[in-house]
Amino acid sequence: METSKARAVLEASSVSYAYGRQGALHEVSLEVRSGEVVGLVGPNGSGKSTLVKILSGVLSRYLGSALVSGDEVSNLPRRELARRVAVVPQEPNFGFPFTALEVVLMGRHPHLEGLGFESERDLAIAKAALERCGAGHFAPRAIQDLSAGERQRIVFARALAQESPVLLLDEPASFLDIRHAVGLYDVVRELATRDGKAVLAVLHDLSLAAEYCDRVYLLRAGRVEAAGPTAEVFTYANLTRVFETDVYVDVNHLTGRLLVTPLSSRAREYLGRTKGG
Amino acid sequence: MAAERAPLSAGRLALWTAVLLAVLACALVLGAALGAGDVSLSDFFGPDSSRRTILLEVRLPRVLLAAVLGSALCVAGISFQALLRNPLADPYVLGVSGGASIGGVVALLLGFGIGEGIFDRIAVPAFAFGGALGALVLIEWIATVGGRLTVYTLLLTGAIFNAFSAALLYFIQSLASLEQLHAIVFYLMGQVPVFGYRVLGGLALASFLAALALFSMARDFNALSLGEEGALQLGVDVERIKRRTFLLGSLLTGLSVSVAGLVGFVGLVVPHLLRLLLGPDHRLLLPAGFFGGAAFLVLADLFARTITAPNELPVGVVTALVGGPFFLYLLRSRGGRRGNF
Amino acid sequence: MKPHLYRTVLGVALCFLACEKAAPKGDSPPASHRIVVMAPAAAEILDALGATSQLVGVGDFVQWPPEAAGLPKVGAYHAPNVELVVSLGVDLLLTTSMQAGGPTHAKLRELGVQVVTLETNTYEGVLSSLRKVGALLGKDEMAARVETRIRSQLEETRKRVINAPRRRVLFVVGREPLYAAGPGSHVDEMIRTVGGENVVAEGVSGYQLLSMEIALESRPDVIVDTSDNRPGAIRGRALGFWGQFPFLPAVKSGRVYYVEPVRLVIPGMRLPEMTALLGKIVQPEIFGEADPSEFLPFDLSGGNGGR
Repeated sequence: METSKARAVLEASSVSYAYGRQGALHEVSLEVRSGEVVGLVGPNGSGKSTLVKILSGVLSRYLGSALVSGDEVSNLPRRELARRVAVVPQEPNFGFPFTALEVVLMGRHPHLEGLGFESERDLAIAKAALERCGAGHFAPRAIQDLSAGERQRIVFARALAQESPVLLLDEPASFLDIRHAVGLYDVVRELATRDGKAVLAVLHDLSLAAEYCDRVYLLRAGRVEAAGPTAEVFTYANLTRVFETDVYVDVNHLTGRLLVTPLSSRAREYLGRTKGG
Repeated sequence: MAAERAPLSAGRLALWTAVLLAVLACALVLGAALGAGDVSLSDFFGPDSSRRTILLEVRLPRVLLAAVLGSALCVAGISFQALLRNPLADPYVLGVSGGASIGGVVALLLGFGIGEGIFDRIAVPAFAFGGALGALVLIEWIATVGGRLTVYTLLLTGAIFNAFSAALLYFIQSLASLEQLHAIVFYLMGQVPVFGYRVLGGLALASFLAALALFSMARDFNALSLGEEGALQLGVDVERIKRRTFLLGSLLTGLSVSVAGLVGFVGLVVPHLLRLLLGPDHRLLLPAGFFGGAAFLVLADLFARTITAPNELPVGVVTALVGGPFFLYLLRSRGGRRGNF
Repeated sequence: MKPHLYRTVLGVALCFLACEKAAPKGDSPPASHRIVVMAPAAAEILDALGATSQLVGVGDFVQWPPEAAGLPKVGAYHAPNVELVVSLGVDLLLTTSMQAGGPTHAKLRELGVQVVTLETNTYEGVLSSLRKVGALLGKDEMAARVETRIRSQLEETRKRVINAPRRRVLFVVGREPLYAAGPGSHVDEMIRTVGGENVVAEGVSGYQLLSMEIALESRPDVIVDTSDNRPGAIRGRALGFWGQFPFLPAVKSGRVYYVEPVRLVIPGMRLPEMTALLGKIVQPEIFGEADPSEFLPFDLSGGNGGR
């Protein structure tokens, strides 16, 4: 699959937002190219979810510009936007007892017309998406019967079924155990490198971000504090300033990637004693 | 208990539609064949023109109207359940029925409703429908905040409006004369009246068109179960869908209450039953509700007019007596499951 | 100090006892009462006994006799306003047995009001009520005279219809939904008295919600419709609503009558008059045709019947 790194599929320029209870954003600029996994990190209330909502068309009264494949998000018809951008929400929500397969099939919604009886192809795409998330055997089960982690994988599969060039992830692995979390992010990496998707992922786990994200944007109080390759952004200075807590940043000697460890009060005490102040 | 259900195909929709249409046909035949008296279907061909008149002018219009009302209420119930993402919503929860009841009762107080001219025959339903429309406009206006129809506010406004209407009705009843009181109480209990074929045809057409418009949003209803945000992100124009659903569902409810008073459980138990049987896919649920709701009310009305022959029960009483315990049973049998549907 | 106080208390106590004795609780009927009637039937009984001067208040639905018009209204059938009743100094409240009123009646009795329920659903009920009230007011003889008159008038009517054809009568008291008079109502008795047969012969007694199909299939010879009591309602002999069923014998022979409810449906001392009117409707060959004014409310029938 060809990956044209020069093209920015997702581009936010000086986006500002300040309505209602949403976290505000001030002049946030960001871009994601196809084939990239870009991380969006920051403390609670820094505006990460707000940005995701703007980029997915949920919030429309923003200032600045948000482009998807060159078109302004607020000008695109919803269906078209949904064909270009798929979102994996933080807390999946289900009103009625659809089966896992039916939920994943809803990812085909932007591609269907009228009553939209899903074709063989649609079914195949949905099943493949489920398989890719290791949830193939869940297909006929009612979504209410699944655990939070299993549901999260279904929702991820749904986003895959949308077959969109852009993927927005909002804490997609928050309920997953380490095996499934790693499995999911491996798939995410694949989607970028192999399928050429542009992925923007909101993450709380900084080590995972360091492991999987090529570049990262560090947000604080609605502003971009730092941006760039993960190793450059995840410095002790940046992280302790933005998250207002002590962290320990090191390189994982096995993988060569960064390892970020938040320090507990006990650890800080210990460090203070051994370092001698 | 796993769902074990394949995604909906056009074939399955056609099959179930045919099945429920057949059920409705049977219910209609049964309703036309049975009654409190001796008139039977053969009287249609028989020599006795008076019995034919009874069959065609008294029994058949009532059976057909029950079908129209049943389908209207069931479809409205399913739509509101989709809109509110709650299988416990019924057509009356959003307050339109309160407005219709007040409108109808006002007409009764003014003395309409028992003359024989065409105006008298439709005065009470016309007033009731006016009340329903008024309520609809008022509630929609209140629940629209910043250009968006907030489901939460809608629900609250509806509940308050219903409570207010109930209080107003009690107040009216406390002032009414004995005869008026009687008329009011029975109007509110839910009764399938007898209308001429022209009015019946008009009601059927309006109901069918509204149901059709709701059916066109079936896939959007499915997506809406993922939450407003989830649906938006799948490309659904959520604001438009919400507004349309509220309007069309309220129209169907308003028509129903205007004509027959408060007939409960058709819009609550039948959708629930169908959802258990056929799954939550609205592309199947809506047509199923259209035919299934009709069959249900036809049978309930048959029961209402024969069980205590020569007397009759208000059909709202029958649906409540049947629907209530049945619904409780449903809740209990499914209640152990997570998600509780 | 103490002995004085003791005597004062004793004196006050004796006074109370004396006052108690002065207000009798009804061991023997006093000369005059202060009466409230909750139902028209009771008002008519008082009028027949010449005791309307003892009326001090009426229920909301009592519009007759004329003396009642100026009296204060004390509430609906089952809910007389206790405060109002007591403030009027009422010692006797007459109501019908149809209405539920348990708690209110108990309260009134507690406050010294004698609450008497009268059964007025049937002829015998009306007449026994007449006797009961007569006894309460010490007018036994007068009550007996009225009763004798009523009985003889009814008997007279019965005699006249002995060989008359038994006409099938549908007596409608409400439409949408259809309500008809069934067995157990005084209307039913009236119908039989004038040689008619009530098409509603079974079911819940009194007034019942009737299936329209049954009503039509019963093929009544005569239909009496008192369902509409609005000012501009159709009155008299006319087809009206029932005209849409031309196969009914009543419609074919034009024997459909729209009558003001008060003329036929309110049971009371006018039983003979009501029965006579019904007789003219059901057996006109024997009793003659009714005058159109007889179908109208009382105050309108006096003049030109106009509005």
